[in-house]
Amino acid sequence: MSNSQVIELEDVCFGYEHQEVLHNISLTLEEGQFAVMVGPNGGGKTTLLRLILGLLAPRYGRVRLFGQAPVLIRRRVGYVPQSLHYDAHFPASVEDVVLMGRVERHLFGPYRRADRTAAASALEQVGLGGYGRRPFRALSGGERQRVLMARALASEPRLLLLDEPGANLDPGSSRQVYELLRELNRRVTILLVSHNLKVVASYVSHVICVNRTADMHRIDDVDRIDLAGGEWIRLSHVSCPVAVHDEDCSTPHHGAASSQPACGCGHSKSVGEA
Amino acid sequence: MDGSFIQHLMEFSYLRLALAASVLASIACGVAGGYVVARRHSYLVGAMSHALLGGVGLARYLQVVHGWTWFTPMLGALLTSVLAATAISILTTGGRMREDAILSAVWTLGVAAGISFIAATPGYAEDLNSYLFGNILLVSVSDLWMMAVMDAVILLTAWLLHTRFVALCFHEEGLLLRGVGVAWVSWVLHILIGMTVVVLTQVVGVILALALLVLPSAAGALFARRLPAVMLAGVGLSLLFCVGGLVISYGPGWPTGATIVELAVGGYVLLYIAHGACARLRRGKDA
Repeated sequence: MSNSQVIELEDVCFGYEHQEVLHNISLTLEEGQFAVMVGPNGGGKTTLLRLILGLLAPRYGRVRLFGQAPVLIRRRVGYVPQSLHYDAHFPASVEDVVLMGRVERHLFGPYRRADRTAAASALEQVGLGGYGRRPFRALSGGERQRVLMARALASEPRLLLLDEPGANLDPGSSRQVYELLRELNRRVTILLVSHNLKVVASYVSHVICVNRTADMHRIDDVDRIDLAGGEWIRLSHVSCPVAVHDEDCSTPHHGAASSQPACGCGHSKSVGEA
Repeated sequence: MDGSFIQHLMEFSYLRLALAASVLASIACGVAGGYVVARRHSYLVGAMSHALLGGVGLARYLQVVHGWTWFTPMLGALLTSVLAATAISILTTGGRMREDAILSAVWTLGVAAGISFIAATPGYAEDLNSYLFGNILLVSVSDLWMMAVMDAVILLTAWLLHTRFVALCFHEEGLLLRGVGVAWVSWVLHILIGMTVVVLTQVVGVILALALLVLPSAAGALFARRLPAVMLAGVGLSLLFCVGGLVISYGPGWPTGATIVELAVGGYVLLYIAHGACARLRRGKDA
């Protein structure tokens, strides 16, 4: 396993209007790792994903993808959203949707044969071989989820980001999805969000507990996480710290942006609801 | 079909021009209508079409008051559509401003400017009607040429950028994450829709263009499974409505644009009911 850093967050703070969502997050995900983000609802998991994708900009701190600004390099990422805000009656075949993972490859004109081959192989990988011509709107929720995974795979990503990939699936299909991810992890770095650590624990290499702050642990250490003074919530058989911050946010952080007087994240003493 | 219509079609060239205009308008509105329906962009079409009235009014004003005869109403409409598409694209990008507020502003500003220009133009209040409601029987050969050029531009743009348009309509964020500039793709799509409205204005006028841009494709989307099929169905249905409206209205001398739109609404409702019946029938078979 090489040591190249796929995701790097340095002292990242983020908040909306008057509410701080993420505080002082530093994380590094290295090539080949398979990490799961867990934490309570509203703890900032999806916000963290959006920061990594460059869809949100941090108020303070720095996000790097493959050593670059996310907006410049995010086409190397295959992103599988939790659910699409798309029209349930959108007239597209399964293949049409999968091909969208390769939409940036040609400036003009229709998809080429190589794109269709890649789409068919992505569908095979998610267990939907032969589904290409079916209408997307006629699929079940679980099948749609897998089509969106195929869309991400068709882009030949070096990093896969998945937001609750098991959310709409029955236990059998969700096991299938995680088996597939383990298989893919041989060549792709994976970061996923899940609220059910019990299900994913046997597949992942790292756990990131996200609740306004984030701590990364090797999965083998999960049962022995240092209790270091925080409050705790139970997440199936592991515990995840709910961070209590007593330090004053007005003290300047170290790092490149030290010209800024403060971290800018405000409301540092409010504790995220558990 | 009405015997006298066929007879008159042979006799009078204006009827042949009207038929040709129907074909050209149907091609544009099927293609653009597919994107409009997929993106649920009807309100944008309404804003864009009403905004054209400003350009039409300006053109009449410049033609009559300043003698710029080359500045035809269609040219004015085309310029306005590009302007409106650009303004809407810039102002709505990034969700900084409320899209519905911007569209309402464009919508009403266009109409207001149209009224002002027409009021300032001596003696031309009476042909306002043909811009508001269209008059397919007054289409000239040069109008047809311009419509044909716009159709060609629309078809070429759709062919070149179809994959991006589909991705934009389906999941804008997904397109953004592939590293594609969503802002310019959506700007080009807005211009394509604006051009289509200009073409349609010749047939049904500013007020009724919305119906022809949305209803045939919406009806097609009930049955078609992929966007290209929706577009083909949209072209076919629109042609049916346009020619049907022309034939039905010709004998009694009804307003053609209005008849076309009434036919389109009726056709949409019928197809909607048929679609529901088909679905029930299928479910019955499955049970």
